[in-house]
Amino acid sequence: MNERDFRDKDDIIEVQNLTKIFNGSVRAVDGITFNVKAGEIFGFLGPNGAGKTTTILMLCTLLKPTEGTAKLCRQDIVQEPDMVRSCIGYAPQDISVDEDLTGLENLKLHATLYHMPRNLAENRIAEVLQLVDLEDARDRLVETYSGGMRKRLEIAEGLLHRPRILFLDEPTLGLDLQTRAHIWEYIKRLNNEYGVTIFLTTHYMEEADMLCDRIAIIDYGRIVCIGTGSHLKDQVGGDVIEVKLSQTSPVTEKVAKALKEQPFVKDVMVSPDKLSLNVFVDRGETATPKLAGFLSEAGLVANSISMLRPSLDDVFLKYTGRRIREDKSSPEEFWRMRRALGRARA
Amino acid sequence: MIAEMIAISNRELKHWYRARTAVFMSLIQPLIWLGLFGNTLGNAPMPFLAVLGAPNYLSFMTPGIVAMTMLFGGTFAGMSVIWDKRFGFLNKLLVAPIPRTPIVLGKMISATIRGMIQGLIVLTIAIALGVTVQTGILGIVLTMLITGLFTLGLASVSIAAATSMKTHETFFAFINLINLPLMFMSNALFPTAFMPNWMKSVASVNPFSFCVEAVRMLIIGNIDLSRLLFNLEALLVFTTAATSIGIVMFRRITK
Repeated sequence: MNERDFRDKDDIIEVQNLTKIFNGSVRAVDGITFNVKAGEIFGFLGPNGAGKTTTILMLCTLLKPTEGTAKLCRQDIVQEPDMVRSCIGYAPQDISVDEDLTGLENLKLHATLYHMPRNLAENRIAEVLQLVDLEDARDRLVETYSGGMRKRLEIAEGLLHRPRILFLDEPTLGLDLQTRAHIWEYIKRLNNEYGVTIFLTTHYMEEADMLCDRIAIIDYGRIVCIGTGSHLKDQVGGDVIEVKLSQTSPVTEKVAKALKEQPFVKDVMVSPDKLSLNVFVDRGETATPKLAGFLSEAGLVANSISMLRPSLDDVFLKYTGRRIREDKSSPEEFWRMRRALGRARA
Repeated sequence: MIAEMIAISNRELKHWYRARTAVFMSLIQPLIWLGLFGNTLGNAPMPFLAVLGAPNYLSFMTPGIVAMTMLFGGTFAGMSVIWDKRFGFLNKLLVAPIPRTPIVLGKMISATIRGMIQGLIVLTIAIALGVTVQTGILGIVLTMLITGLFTLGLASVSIAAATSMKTHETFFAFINLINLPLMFMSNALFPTAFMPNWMKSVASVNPFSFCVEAVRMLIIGNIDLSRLLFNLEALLVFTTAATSIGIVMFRRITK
């Protein structure tokens, strides 16, 4: 198999009106249509519960779509699941390498599942272990691995059979910043060195921004916008001025409305807690003093006024009227939870 | 298909023998039954022992305890399906371009191998405690095959049930529900002659009884060939049916 066959901008993933309805009424994924080109790193960005994992499960043939179709490597996910399976790798959100086996044993099992001849398997295993820096830990039980190591093993497994497309569901969920940076580096390297098309989901904006050639923002099962990071940010247009208020005020909404009428203002968003305003303007430098004047006349006390370049969060805000809420649980909490489950298992 | 099956079966067996405490504990229970219960009833009055048709209670009871070890081990097999569902490992198997049958067969076979090894250990303990296998080595080999067949059937029932369960709590409730009735409504510990009629009829169709009776003939040595063959056929029917249902159920949830 030559993974570069698909290079040169062919559509390696073609999704048409893909829909998943649970329990007859919950539209987890609601008629999404998009294409991914060979060699791209493509990201699905959205808050928890937006339908990211459901989409991945359908594309990986683990869940049947209610409506619509998708083709991976020109094979239909419903008609030809086995053909699709042989061209993809999948690293699920919950790390699912086998804790009671060593890293090496996990990889060997994986090699058998993908019908790899022994020699090839040995070479590839050595290669992926080196790629994710786990050579020294290969004979240790995965039980003893840290969170980042497990995730790296998971990615190594996803790569072992040289898939044309690698699906990474929340590749850095629950990891500390440094480990996240490492994982990003690996993902970039795979993409560069092997030309693997990467489809990832994330609810971290900076992750999508750092890694992805193109991003689709997804909310309530629908794609709200799609494009390169800078293209999406250009859509927001101009600058964003963030006003933090000292306290909630009954007039905030009214002031925001009046502010929207001002000629120098393009749009205003009030945060759900009513403690900050995002004001979208063409030129932040000239708008800031005007804005400060306007607010003090209206009787709103600002704690701080800062000018920001639009972020993906602003893009999200612009299209959905909400912010992507970061996961409240900290990495520590996440791992405590997993360890508790691990103990329950033993 | 064979390679995948062996690889999956291997993985399950590694889980088993690496959990040394669990292996050890699973053998304590039969040891207690044989050592304590077997010896206590060894002092029962002669007429009681005469009904057994065995030289002593321990010999009568050993097949029951071997089969009990199979029962507890075999019905636990579905647990690995629950865990694999929970931890997403099942999805990893399912996203590979392999058919579903070798995955479930691998699980069934590992449970069978595990059961046969445990059965052999229990039998060895019984022999050490003074039980003689009248049919010799051939009898021991046949005993292993019979218990293997029985475990395969039980593991399949367990896996079939586990496919439709989400949590291990539900699964434990299921095991508790079936294990003790299966064991006590059989000829494992007492001859069916002691039972009321209704329980006798339950015991006579209980797969547990087929296994115990066949193994008992081999250990005590008074073989009624037509009865032995009947027990084997009945076990074969049970195991074939259970395995087919297990495979179908597993394929259904993993299409």
